[in-house]
Amino acid sequence: MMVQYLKANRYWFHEYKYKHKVPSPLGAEQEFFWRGEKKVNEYIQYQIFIDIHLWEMTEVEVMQKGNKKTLTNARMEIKLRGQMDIDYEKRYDESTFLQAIKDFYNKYIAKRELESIFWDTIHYRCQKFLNVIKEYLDMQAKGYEYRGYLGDNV
Amino acid sequence: MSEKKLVIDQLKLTYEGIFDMTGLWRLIDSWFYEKGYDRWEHKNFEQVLPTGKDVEIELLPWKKTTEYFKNTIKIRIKAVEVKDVEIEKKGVKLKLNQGKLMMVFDGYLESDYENKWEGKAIFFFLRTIFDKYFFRKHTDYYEKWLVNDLYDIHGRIQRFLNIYRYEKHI
Repeated sequence: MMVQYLKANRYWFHEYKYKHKVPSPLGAEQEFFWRGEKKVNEYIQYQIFIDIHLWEMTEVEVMQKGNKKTLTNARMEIKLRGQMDIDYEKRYDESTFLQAIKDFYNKYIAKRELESIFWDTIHYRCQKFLNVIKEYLDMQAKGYEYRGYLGDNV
Repeated sequence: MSEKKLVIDQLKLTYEGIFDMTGLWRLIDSWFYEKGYDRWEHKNFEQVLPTGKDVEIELLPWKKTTEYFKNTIKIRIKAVEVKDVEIEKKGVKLKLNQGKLMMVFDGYLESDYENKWEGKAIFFFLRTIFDKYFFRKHTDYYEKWLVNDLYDIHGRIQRFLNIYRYEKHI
């Protein structure tokens, strides 16, 4: 579901770390570190980091609408972090002069655009993603009133 | 570092009985949307226990009122022993929750959030002097704005839970 959401929003998915600890009598412990990456243009790139930590994982069989299903019972922590990378190709880091131009451009020319368009997009994409996860887990505090913010329905 | 002033310290609300948890969440979320606050859900914890669900939420939405002032509202919600119940109201079956609810509200007014007046010691000194003596009324105005916002959401939640029925004018 999470990978599908990232792919639907044209993010490249990477699993850059995976940890599995020797299971104890209470269950296994696993950690996943995922990253979604999207190049907006030649200057800006979005990254969404997803850290998942599971403790005491055990498999349980439940009856759902008359069908037997194998699900996982565990304690889980999900951390989401959105990041906007400016000049991700490091084209303007080659000399001090280019760096000064970059700083001037970011601080004075494109400041509003960077803050109110690009920054907002990644911030609200993460918030929307969070709600998708909450709805999947059927949590009590689900629902998202900012859904119209990004102007899409994904 | 910008200056953060605690304007409202731990305004509390407690409730025990039947309520709609998802409805309450939507009310809070839509209020922030309506008032133009940027959303930040810092923590959302849920644990399923034999006695019911335990829910802990921390929200930290903010609003940049000017280029100098920023309002931040911190809402901590703790709901314990939340169970699903079904009740009948006017012939309609409703799915609601039953449990104990505790909420704590804090309001912060942040000035110079872009750290524009901290580059040099003289700027910092000037900022403090102007804030304290020349723009005192200005600061008070934004403080009142924050207080009003906080009491508004507090009152709306009270009315939603049917604790207090009348609108408060602060």
